[in-house]
Amino acid sequence: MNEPLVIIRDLRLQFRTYAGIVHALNGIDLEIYEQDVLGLVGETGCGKSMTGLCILGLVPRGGEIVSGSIGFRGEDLLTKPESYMQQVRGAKIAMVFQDPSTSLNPLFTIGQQIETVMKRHQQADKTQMHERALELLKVVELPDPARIMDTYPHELSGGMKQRASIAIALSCGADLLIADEPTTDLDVTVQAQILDLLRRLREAQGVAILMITHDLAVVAETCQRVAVLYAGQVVESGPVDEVLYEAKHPYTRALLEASPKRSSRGKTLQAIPGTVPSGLRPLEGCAFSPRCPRAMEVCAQPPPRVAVTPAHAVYCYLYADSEE
Amino acid sequence: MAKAEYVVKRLLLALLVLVGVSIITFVIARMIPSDPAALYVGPRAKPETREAARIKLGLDRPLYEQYLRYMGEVLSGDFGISVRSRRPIIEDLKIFLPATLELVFVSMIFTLLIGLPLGVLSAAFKDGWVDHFSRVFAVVNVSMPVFWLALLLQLLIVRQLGLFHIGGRVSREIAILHPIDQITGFYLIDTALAGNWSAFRDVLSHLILPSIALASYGIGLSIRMTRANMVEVLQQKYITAAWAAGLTRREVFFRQALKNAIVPTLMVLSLNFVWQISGAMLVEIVFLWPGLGTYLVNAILTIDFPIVVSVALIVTVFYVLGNLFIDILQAAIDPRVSLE
Ligand SMILES: Nc1ncnc2c1ncn2[C@@H]1O[C@H](COP(=O)(O)OP(=O)(O)OP(=O)(O)O)[C@@H](O)[C@H]1O
Ligand SMILES: [Mg+2]
Repeated sequence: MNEPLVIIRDLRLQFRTYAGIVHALNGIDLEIYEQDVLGLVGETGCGKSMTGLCILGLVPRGGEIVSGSIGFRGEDLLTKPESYMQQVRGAKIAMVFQDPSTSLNPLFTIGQQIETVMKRHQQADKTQMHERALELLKVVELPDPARIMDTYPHELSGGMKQRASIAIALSCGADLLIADEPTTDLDVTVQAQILDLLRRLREAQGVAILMITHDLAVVAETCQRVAVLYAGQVVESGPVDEVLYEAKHPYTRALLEASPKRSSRGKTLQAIPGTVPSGLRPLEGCAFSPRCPRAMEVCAQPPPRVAVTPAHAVYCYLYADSEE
Repeated sequence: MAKAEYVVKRLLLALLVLVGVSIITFVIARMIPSDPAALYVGPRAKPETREAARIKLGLDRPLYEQYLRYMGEVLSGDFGISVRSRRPIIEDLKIFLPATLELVFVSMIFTLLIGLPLGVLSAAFKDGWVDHFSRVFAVVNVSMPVFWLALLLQLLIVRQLGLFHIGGRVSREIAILHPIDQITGFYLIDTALAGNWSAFRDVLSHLILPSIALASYGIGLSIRMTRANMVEVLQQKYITAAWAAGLTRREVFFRQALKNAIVPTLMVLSLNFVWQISGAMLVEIVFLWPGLGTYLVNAILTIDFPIVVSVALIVTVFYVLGNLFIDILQAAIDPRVSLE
């Protein structure tokens, strides 16, 4: 296995709100390998987007990273000044967002938007940049790139907009692409095309992808590895085959139960009983234990990391004894 | 193309509004004084003279003919004659209109240079000290009486610091030593065209204080408008995307975001601009500026009807042009506008 490109350790993010301190991320541990696709799954509000934004150093107002480290090529990004992060964003780590109709600036043409990013990170003259922008639009398989260059976002369909966003993100040869639910707002057929494109880009461009999604089918289709998030913590991570087909953590299993693929026809989807903790209280033990059918007394303590196989880890007391 | 079509449509609409307004001013000018001929010849004229004046003024002709004649006169620059001074109104306008426009233009430059950046920075560093400062500054500007600010500037900057001038458009010595050829009536342009740079500098330094006094309201307004719209735009997804692309603060705030937030500010400023053409009287009086506002107020006080109607017509033309300008600018900024 190749080297990790990103190593996140004990990442904790809090928000100061009028209701009190919200514990959004509670000690995330993650590795993203070079040229690998890591899926990040979990229910809404579990901290997927925040994890992505933390990597870019773009914590929203009111948020504060209180501990942890984000190693990128051996450098801890959390210790870097803003000026350094500005050079990393867009050039080494890029991001694609969920809804392409709101994440492209409506007042600039696609060409202008690509060239603005290129001009920021690369030295090149106008014609060179124009050439490269055209090339990129071809890479993301947009028809008639020369025309697309001069069109505004509102003139494109959702799928085309998302392709254009991907072109902008990849314009400076990023090593890591953070894709935050890149297909959630698209039609089903377009979804498949975009996922297919991302998969091929990973091979052709050698870019690693952090695929944020709540859809296990997307993970199964595009990812090599997956991390399951619950209440701002990773509860299980490892190769997709192992995690999806030999899920260990009760939450991962519940998630699989609730996912449409697994439920047999005619049976209603199995909702996970209980609700996600609000984040207003600091986590003490396992966050899932109040909803867990197999909770034990010991679950009030922070769960141990158990290596199921060398690459497959689960944070749960159920497997703790097999460790010793 | 949709955009060209949009511009043509707006032009036609503007033309239509102008025709409508000219009909209204015509009606006011010709119909409201019960007998314009009597007004023309004065109260002690003989009936024959009055009858001759009726024919001379074309008042015996049908209404539409009178209107066409009126339009012809206005378009050729004939706005009639002042009831009080008996001077052709156009001669007065040639002096007062450029003087006012020059003042209002320069004050608009101050407004944009101060109001827009402060509005942007205020939103960019929301709740920081820049924001607190700009907001207080904006409130002070909006609420300070303009004549009071004008007097304050005279007192502090002219009297105490000895800078700039107490009033007028040009110093007497300059007017004698380097006389200004009146070509456009805009002294900055006239002096620049003639290469008369000592007069240019003098004219400019006369413009500074009255422009600042006149700009203050617009500055306050544009800070508040820009800030409010910027705060909203900065929450948009495409701004997060711009940060994620590593763009610099300047690029994000002043290009990516401001372009999305600027149109409402420009609309308000354009209205303010048109209002100032006839509404800058208080600044004009304090700075002895021979402007249209003072001219209008004097005409109102002396019940000089033809002047009032002419100024109203001119202001309306500027109003229509201002709106047209904003419509076209908006279409140039936002590609979606022409589709509506
Ligand atoms: N501005 C904020 N103020 C307070 N808390 C916030 C703020 N933004 C995010 N949070 C907290 O961070 C948690 C994680 O949010 P995040 O957006 O990462 O969720 P997500 O997993 O991406 O969910 P979704 O699937 O809905 O996108 C939320 O539950 C919320 O409590
Ligand atoms: Mg999210």
